[in-house]
Amino acid sequence: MSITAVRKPDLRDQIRRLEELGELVRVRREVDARHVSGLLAQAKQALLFERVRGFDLPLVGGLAATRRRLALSLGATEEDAARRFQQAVERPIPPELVASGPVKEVKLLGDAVDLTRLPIPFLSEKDGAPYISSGIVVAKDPEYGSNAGCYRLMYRTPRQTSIDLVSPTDLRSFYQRRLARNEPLEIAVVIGAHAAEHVAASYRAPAGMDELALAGGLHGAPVPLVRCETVDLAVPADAEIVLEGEIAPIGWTADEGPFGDVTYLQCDLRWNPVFNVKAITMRRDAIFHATTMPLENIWLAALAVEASAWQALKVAGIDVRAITGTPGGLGFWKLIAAIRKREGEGKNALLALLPLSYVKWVVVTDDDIDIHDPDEVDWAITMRVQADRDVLVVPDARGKHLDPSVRAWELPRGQLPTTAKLGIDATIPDGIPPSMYERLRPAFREQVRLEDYL
Amino acid sequence: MESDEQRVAALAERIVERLGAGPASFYDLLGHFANAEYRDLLRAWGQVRERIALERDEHGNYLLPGSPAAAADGHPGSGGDGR
Repeated sequence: MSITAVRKPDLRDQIRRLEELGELVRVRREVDARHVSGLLAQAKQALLFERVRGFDLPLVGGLAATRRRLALSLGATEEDAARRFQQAVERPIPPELVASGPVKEVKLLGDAVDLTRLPIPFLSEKDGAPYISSGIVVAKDPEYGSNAGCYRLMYRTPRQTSIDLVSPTDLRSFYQRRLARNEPLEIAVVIGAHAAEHVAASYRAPAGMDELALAGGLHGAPVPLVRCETVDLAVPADAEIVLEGEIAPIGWTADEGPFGDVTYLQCDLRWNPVFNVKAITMRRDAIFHATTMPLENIWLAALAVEASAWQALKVAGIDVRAITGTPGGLGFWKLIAAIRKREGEGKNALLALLPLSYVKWVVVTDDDIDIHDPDEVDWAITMRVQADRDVLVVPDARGKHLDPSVRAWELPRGQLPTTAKLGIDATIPDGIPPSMYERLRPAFREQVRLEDYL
Repeated sequence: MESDEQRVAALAERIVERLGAGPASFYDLLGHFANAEYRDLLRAWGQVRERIALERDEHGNYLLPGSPAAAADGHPGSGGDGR
């Protein structure tokens, strides 16, 4: 074990930073936990509810609800957050085991385990029950090693939740291997970790990559880990709360959901395993962290896709100047890229970006377009696109069942859906001189200020 | 004076009675028991779930087992096959 010399930031540092930057507001009035979601949906900033009626723990939410807020949490700008992520992928810093940490200040074992001590909010009207939505689940497999990923957990009883393992993920495959031997899978659920841990856990890392090492790369310092009390796993020592326990070997047989999901839609009832909680450890003054749907889920996952997009365009030899996603495009189902174009590269850029997983449609513009301004992008499409030359449709590509337009329910059981991908080349068409796109400029704009006249 | 445990147990019974009257979502229950403390509802709900194997209909509503509104085909919703 080591004593980590450089302390990496934790959730409280993130909260402090966002508050200093005007991105987080404290709610001092007592709130009912059933109203937390409605209030967060109206908020322009993240909210820290200092008093939740009936609970000793405050609740924080909305920490990653905008692209800007997530970037600031990572100590980055919106423009360079994806590049920081890629650098962390290339230079991860392995976590370090430490003797103890703040998450061990309170230990609840056996009969003392009680999930109702946590202000688990009710998020969307059609949700099956209150949800722990910010949990990072840590698990390990003798063959595949450690894994950390984000999974939702539906409250059932003071010592049990359902856990959504429907999608093909590492945790699902770990569980399947244990299920084949009729054994439970030990897990630990981390609540109240820093944004870097969430971004790392949201990333579909290649086999053998440790997500917590990726988090270390984002921090520039190792994530300190402490051993759990009742399961053979290690968790971030500076987390707020950890739930330890086992996913029971019952298969996909317990009701879970519905849940208002990343697509802005209420996804349907599912059948999933259950998580039996054997221990809760937490800080003495722990803060419960709730991740709201869909925006926080969108931006946490978008960074990895944007980083992949930068790489894809670099491999294609294209001079990319900016990449972004939009809330309506679910952050990464739609990408917009601004390039310094040479002939043909508008189409090449589309061909490089459309294969990325989850990406359903792409717009490529020249770098004179501010791709963060939807009106600029609209203008580029309006004035630079001919639909019969500059629109690319790729049918029968890999789709996602979360998208109702792929009609996944009509497919034979076990078959994955396909989708038609769309690319729009909104760069100045080859052969049209850029002078045809000289923009108007109001006369003497720089010489006068409206404030002097009002 | 009613103890915490008595209050929560009574609330659990009222939840069961409400489900006996027809399917209800969790949101319906939060509205029906608008005056109950949220934490009491979590605890009472836990008691109900520990005691009774609730069923679900195709809309995700909860039902008591054997109630007429339960889906005839057993498990509505998505399966666990990764679809």
